[in-house]
Order: sequence, then C-alpha cells, then structure tokens
Amino acid sequence: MKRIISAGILALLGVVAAANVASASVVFWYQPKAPKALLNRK
Amino acid sequence: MERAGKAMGEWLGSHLEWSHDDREIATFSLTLILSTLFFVATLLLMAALAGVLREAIIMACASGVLKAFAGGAHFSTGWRCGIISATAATLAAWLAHTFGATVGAGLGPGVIGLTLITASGVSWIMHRRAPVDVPEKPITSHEQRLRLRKIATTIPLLWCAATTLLVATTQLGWLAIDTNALYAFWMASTIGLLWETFSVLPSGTRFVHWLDSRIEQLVRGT
Repeated sequence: MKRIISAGILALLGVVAAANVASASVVFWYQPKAPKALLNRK
Repeated sequence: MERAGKAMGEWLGSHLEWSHDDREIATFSLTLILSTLFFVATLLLMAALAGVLREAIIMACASGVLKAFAGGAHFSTGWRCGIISATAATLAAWLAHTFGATVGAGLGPGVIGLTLITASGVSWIMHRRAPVDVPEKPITSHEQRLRLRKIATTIPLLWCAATTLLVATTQLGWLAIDTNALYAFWMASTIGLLWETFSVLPSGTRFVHWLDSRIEQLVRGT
C-alpha cells in the first residue's frame, strides 16, 4: 500500500516538474533551479 | 519558499524511501507548486481588494500563457517574484479597469488597428527572441527551442484574431457585450502581452535584475 501511495505522489509531482521542464517557464517570474536528474531525462 | 519545498521533499522522501534523484524532483515540483499558489493567492487578494479581480485574472493569464512558452527574466526568490508580480499585475489591472473604457471608446475602430499592431510587434519579437532560457533551467534541445518559439510566435496572433472578432462584432452591434468591460479586458490582455514581451528583451532582463538586486539590498538593509 505504501509503495502504491509513494508511486502515486511521485508521479503527480513528476508531472508538475516535467511540465515545467518542457515549457520555457510556468511560474510567472520565478524559476527554481531544475534538478539535473530531470534535465538529463530528456 | 525554497526552504519549505526542500523540507517537504525531504520529509516525503524519508518517509516513502525515495532515491536522491526522486527527492530532488519532488523538491523542485513542491517549490513550483508553493510559489504558484503564493503568487495566485497574493494576486487574487490584492486584485479583489482593489476591485479589479476580472482584469487582473485576464492580465495574468495573457502574460502567463505567453511566458510558459517564451520564458524571460526571473526574480531570484519565490517570495520576491510573487509579491512583485502580484503588485505589478494589480496596478496594471487597475489601469485597464480605470482607463480601458475611455481609451477604447476614444479609439473606436482604432482598437482593432492597435490590436493588429500590438500582435504583429509581439509576434515578431517572440520570433526573434523566444524562448529565453535561464541558468536555472537551460533549454538543451534544439527541437524544444523551435517548438517553444513557434508556439510563442503564434499566441499573439491567436489573441489578435479572437480580440478582433470580439471587438468588431460588438462594435457592429452583432454581439451584446458591455463595451466598457470589453475594452477593459482588451487593455488588460494587451498590457499582459506587452509586459511579457518586455521581459524577453535584453532591457527587460536588465531591469528585472536591477530590481531584484535593489530589493535584495533593501531586505538585507545594505
């Protein structure tokens, strides 16, 4: 059960993070540093 | 905000036994969510207090949609960005709310001409400059760069087509819309597009960095 919840939360957060990396910017005038792990996935 | 995102990411990661990479991604995502929520809440509160909620939402949407594909200058912290962006958006919304109807009525059919000029100018600048990436998130693929540029160039043209259609049908009396509200929305979305266009220009980037450093000095009391 814990593994399913963990995977679900990570998938949701991953979608938000991936959407930001796929765009030029989605948070108006602020862009936190994108993690290398995400940039290297492309 | 960055610290809160990191703390939440680490807490989740330790409880759910995530790897280092997964924790980094979760922290990044949580920081994005927190900073967006903070910006939206600040904007809604300020705009509601100023009585310009609808104009502020339209302005933020016009600017935000274009920024998603065009990128541009950034502030260095989420707090700073949220407060300054919300304040500027509320001020711009107030301008549109107060002067939009007068300007629109004064221009008459000229509203459509001004819309065409604005859209052409913004689209041309997007074609030349967008997407503007930042060191925090470099655009590494050529295909992604081309795709973002294409979308950023198209958005002002779509805005122009929709606005022209709406204004023309209203002015011809084919559509029964409150013209005062329509002109206020027109002005709000125009300011939103121009604001974002400014942030992709070198002068806009320099201005934002200058403002960012001034606020940093103010906060640190130096």
